Amino acid sequence: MDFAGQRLSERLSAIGVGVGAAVSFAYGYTRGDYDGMIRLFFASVLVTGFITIPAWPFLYARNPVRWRESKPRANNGEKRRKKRRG
Amino acid sequence: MSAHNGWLRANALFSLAVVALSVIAACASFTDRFTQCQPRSSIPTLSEPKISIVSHDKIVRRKDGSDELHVTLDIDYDLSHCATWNTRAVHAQVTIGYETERRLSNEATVWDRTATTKQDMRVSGRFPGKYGVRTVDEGISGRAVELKLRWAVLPRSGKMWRGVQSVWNSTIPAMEEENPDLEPGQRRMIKQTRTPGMP
Repeated sequence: MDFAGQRLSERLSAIGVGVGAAVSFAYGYTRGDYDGMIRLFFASVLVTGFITIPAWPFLYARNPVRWRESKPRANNGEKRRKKRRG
Repeated sequence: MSAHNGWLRANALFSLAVVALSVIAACASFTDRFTQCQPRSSIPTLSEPKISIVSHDKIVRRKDGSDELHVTLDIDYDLSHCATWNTRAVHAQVTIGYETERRLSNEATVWDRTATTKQDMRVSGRFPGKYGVRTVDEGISGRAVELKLRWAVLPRSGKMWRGVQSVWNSTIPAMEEENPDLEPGQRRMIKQTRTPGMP
């Protein structure tokens, strides 16, 4: 999961839980069903978790960090050892 | 500091969900304020609950000077409209209160019921007292008593709402003179004394 993916995951989890809480409360209040409100809220949390916890590559790996190319290490180790001895 | 992983996301989601759950539970408790609970009669044509003592089944003076009283009650009330979507149960109890020389207030529960369904919150009928009244050190015979209906609405979340209403006033019959056949200090009333005017 890249950095942009982490931010997206965090936002999606906040939105999912917030919307789930609002919808479940509205459902429970209008239907007079407290147990239904709790069940609907837990279901929304499970769905949100399914979307945001796994590192889905098609969602959270679309902006990979571009690392610089590594330089070959030829003779670099020998120069450092000589400097230490000297 | 560990690298970002699924456990961190799961922990954050769980914490947020707990906060959101507490918020909606508080909102559910807040909606109870829009309901006014006032006991009614189970009979649609009547407005006030009706509770009275039908008979005094037993009045005994114990050796320590205290009295023991058992009664039968005629109970009619409706508390079903006190229940909301946030209500777990409604508890109702009938108490007998009286005043003595030493204490201004003496109150004892003689009948109670906890109802979880709206049907059970409507009570109508004649019931023997579930609990007897035993005075502390002064007698109750011959005293004026007041029946009260007390109720408590137990919520699923949030505040519990209580109420009390006086429903009936009467006088406990005085005891007979001491019977020489009984043990010293023990007096017994005629069982199932009927209250005047009641069937």
